[in-house]
Amino acid sequence: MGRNAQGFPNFFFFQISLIGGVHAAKLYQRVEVTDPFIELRTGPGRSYPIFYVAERGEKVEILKRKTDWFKVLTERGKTGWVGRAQMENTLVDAGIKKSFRDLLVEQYIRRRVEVGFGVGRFEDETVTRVRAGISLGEHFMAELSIGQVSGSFSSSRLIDVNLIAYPAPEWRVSPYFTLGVGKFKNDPKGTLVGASSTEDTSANAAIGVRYHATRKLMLRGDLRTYVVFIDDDRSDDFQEFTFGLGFFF
Amino acid sequence: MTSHPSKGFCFLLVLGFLVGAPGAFSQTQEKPEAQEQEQVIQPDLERRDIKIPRIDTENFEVGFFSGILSVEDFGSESVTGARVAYHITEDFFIEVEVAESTVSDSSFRDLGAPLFPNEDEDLEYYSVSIGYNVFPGEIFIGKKWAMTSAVYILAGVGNTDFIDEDLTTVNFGIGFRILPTDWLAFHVDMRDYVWDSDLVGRNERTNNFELSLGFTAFF
Repeated sequence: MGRNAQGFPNFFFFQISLIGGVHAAKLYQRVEVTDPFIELRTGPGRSYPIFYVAERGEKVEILKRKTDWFKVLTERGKTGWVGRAQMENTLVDAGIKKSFRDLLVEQYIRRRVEVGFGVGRFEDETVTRVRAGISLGEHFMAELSIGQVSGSFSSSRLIDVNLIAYPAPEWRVSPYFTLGVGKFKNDPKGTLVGASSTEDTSANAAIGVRYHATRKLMLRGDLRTYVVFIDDDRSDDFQEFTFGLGFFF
Repeated sequence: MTSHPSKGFCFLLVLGFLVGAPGAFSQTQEKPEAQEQEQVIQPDLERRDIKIPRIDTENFEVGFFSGILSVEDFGSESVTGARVAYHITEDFFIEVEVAESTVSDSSFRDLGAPLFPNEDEDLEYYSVSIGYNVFPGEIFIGKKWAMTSAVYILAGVGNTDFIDEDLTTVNFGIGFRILPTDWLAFHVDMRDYVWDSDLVGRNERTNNFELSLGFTAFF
């Protein structure tokens, strides 16, 4: 997806005007139906029954949104849920002739925060990971990753800050490379006697692939090498493989 | 154990930056283009302030739950926790739970073989799960009330911490959610938390069932 170089300043202007608008009386986005009709359902899902249709030319107010369903109020006072596909063809009426679809696309391009979790193997033990990332332009992302390895003899907690590089972000299956630093904490199990817990600095590097499964959801897998600096002249290496999913806000 | 970072690690370092670098260049090249497009003459027009009202999205769900957790070998105790969910699509959601319970070794103590330092020990767990709404529907109460509802299934991973042990925990469950209004939901949840424990002498896989009631608010 091509990104407009001017899109960024516009986005800030847009945000400021939004904040100004919130303090006024409760205003809703109004759109005009341009399809022959749109269908109102009783609930936010494809299986709920259609109980009303709003015709072409009718104006509806958007009260709220749940996932891809919009709760609308028609001029005739009917309230129901309309799917994204039908809403996309309506026209925004706020002094600008713009399709509602463009608004949604703008929102999608602006998404910047990504959250996810993963599971995998850290050497021979199970590792679980929770991650949050913020994109730094098209090709880079800063990520905070917290992992836990619960082994037979000890459990470790890994906290890392990583920089991810996406050489081809527009590909559906997109490779990435990461470099990061962090802390490696190791706590021996309570049932073991005489072992003490440790905390060391670590560095890691990984290669991975992410797959954009749907608009919001993606799957990712990576192969990571950890180096834990135990003291000045001793370090330890670990290999990790994780598979997980992530989604955008 | 090695004394230096391995060759493979160094190779990854170099490779990562080599591949990442072209991306960095292409970004800096975009900037001059933006400057060219700047207008030479600034027309003296008064800008109309276009206000586009924000659409209120309700994809997050936050709430509390309370119930009974039955820990294998140690009996059932009450459990309370908090949950946050994010609805990705109408079918899928991600849920994070944190909860607290206690574990008691009183049955072992009665036999004269206490296992824990104290009779009642705290148990805490967290889990990250993915949920799927299998049966969305509506519940009708009388003539006037219709409430949206869903039966969902969940599976996830997490960690359970008790008696100084961190145990990787896998969970499976089924739940029911009913929404009296758009923003409020009541939940009934049944879960199985599976972890490996060596507390009673041998390492065994344990199934720990939880039944809970809860409420959440959407925002």
